[in-house]
Amino acid sequence: MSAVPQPAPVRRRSVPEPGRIGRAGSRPAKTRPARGRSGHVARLRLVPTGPHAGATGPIKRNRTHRLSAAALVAGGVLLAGSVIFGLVLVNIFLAQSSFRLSDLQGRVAEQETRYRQLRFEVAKAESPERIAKTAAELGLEAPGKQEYILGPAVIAGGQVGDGVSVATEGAASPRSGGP
Amino acid sequence: MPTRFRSSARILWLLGALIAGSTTVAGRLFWLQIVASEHFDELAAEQRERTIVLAPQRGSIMAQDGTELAISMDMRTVYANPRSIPNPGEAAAALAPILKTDPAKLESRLSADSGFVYLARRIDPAIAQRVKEVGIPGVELIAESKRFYPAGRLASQVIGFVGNDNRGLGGLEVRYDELLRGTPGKMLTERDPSGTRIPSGKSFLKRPVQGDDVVLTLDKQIQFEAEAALDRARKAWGAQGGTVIVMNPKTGAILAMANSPTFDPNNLKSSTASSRRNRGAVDVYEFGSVNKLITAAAALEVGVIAPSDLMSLPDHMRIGSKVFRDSHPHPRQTLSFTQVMERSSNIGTIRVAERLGKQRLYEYLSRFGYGSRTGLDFPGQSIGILPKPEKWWATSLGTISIGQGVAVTPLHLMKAYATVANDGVEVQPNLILGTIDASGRRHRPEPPRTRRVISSSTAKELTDILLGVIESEDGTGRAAAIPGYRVAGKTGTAQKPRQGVPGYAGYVSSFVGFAPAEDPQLVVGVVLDDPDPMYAGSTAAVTFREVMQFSLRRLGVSPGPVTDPQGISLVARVNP
Repeated sequence: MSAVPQPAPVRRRSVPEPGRIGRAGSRPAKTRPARGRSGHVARLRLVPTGPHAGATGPIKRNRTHRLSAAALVAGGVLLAGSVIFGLVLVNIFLAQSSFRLSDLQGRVAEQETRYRQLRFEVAKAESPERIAKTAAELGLEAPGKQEYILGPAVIAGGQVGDGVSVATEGAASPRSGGP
Repeated sequence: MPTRFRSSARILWLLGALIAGSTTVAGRLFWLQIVASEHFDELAAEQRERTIVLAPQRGSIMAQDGTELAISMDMRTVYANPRSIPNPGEAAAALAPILKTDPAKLESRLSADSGFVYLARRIDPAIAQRVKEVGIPGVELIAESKRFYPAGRLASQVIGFVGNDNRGLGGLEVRYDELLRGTPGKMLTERDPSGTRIPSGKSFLKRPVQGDDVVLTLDKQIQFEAEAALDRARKAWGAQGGTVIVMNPKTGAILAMANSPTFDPNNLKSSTASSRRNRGAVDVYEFGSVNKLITAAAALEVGVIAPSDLMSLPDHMRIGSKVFRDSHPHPRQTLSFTQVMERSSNIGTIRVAERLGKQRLYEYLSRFGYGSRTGLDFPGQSIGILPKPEKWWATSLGTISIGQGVAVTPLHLMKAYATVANDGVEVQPNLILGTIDASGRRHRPEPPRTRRVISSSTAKELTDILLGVIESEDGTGRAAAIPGYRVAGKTGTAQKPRQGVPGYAGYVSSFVGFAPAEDPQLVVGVVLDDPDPMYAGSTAAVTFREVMQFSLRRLGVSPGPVTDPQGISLVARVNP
């Protein structure tokens, strides 16, 4: 492990180098940083060495962290996308339901109107005036007289009579009467 | 340091400007969001929200058997926004054949400088659909309710009619308007600028409550027959008008209330005020001899006379300045009180009234309901004209006892006869069998008020006397007889007062009776305005018989306990 001096940074604050991201355990060895012409301290970073330098120790852990973070971000984006898509879908369903509701309400109103129309037709067909007119057209006549059979019956005292007579309704002869 | 100072000053100025700007923005925000938020909320709501008033369906009016006599239906009204119509001429040419109207008139409406004009109101939805299919921008449809009367003229004066706004204007339509009208509903929705409903927006629906249905006591068959009989009477005897009422004396239910002339409420424009009047409840008449019933009831109840008491009677007599006569001249004769009533003797009745006195006669006229409301729930009823005894003329006892000088509606008269038929107990006449609310629940009205007016024995004596009017050889009402039934009733032929001037012109013929006399089920009253011949025995009694005969048959009323000479009673009736 060795410290390589870096060119002097222009500003004191600069973007941290990837090698500096990590926990306390991954901190580089304390070395005196090189100073540039302006007197600013040069930043140092760790450079991996050896054939497996990229896949061992803290570096490997950093990569894993980066992958986890990327996966997290990707998952978040996916989730957000799904939520948005879901909301849009719900909205579409709501809109469709709304149109369907309007359509159904219209059909209910139509059917109610039809029902009342039919009730009206029935009432018109049941009108006595129409029935009388139709009957007259078919050649029917109003009954002129009615007959009653006056037969034996139990009277108040419990006796049973035996006479049978017939009373016939007919047109009583009008008489030029008084007041 | 001066450079540093200038820099700091600039920063301070900038900061000040920023603070001032932020304060202004914050202040404005405070104003918009807090102080004036309600106002802006309202403005925004006005743009987005639409409230539609949902009109309730007016309840139906039904006959006793549930047949609808008045029904409301949804129709379509075509309206236009003339400012949105690019070519009124073309639009008029396209719409006129569908709406069956004059294209020039339509074009004039479509060219009006207005945002709203009616093109056709309450038309058939099928025709409205054709208008919609033409697709003229600015021409729209709305639903409006229209009242129909499927039975046409049947009981039209009782049912009444509504105006353009669907509010009752006559008859029971106006009396029960509040009940029939229902409660309007409301629908609130949020719409986008194109008018499309925002599905996730605010939404509120209060459904309208349909008006109650009103079920009448009217029997449509009896009503029809009463109207037909009245029509025949007018044609046969040239009467100016008339009324027939059929009533159940035990319940007070009115089964028919026919008036002539009549009208079709579906075609209100062609009707006259006279034809729209329910004469049976509104018009007052001096009925003449039919009123002798009350004189007789008072005399029998007080005990100043008995049915078999004999009286020696001339054919005329003088009271004050007026000479009263019987209808036909005759030598002095001795008649029982029953015969006085059978022959409708004016002189005999006046003699009995003299024994009674004006105070007691007035008291009984009042007890029978003259001079007060009949209790029927119908608008515009008259209480009649019954002068107080202290205002009677010297001749009033004579005139009032025979039914002149006192005026009541046909319904008052019906109620008096129904009281006698119901064993002396008066039952409030009624037209409403019940109501049905929007949820289908049935409601019965309060039971009709009852009140004893005369004793049971007096009612029986009166019934026997009234039977004689029809059954005796000299009875004036023989034409009212119905074979198989015993009918009790009384004729009345009265002079008709002139309109607006003293004196009389023309006659009013009337007949009121009930059957079967042994157990009265029906009371029928007939009033004919100026028939020729004038005598009720030849006119009103005939119409009475027709209506009573039909009604008894219709209701399946058996002829009653008719007995043969051995006391054997009737058993059965065939071909009901």
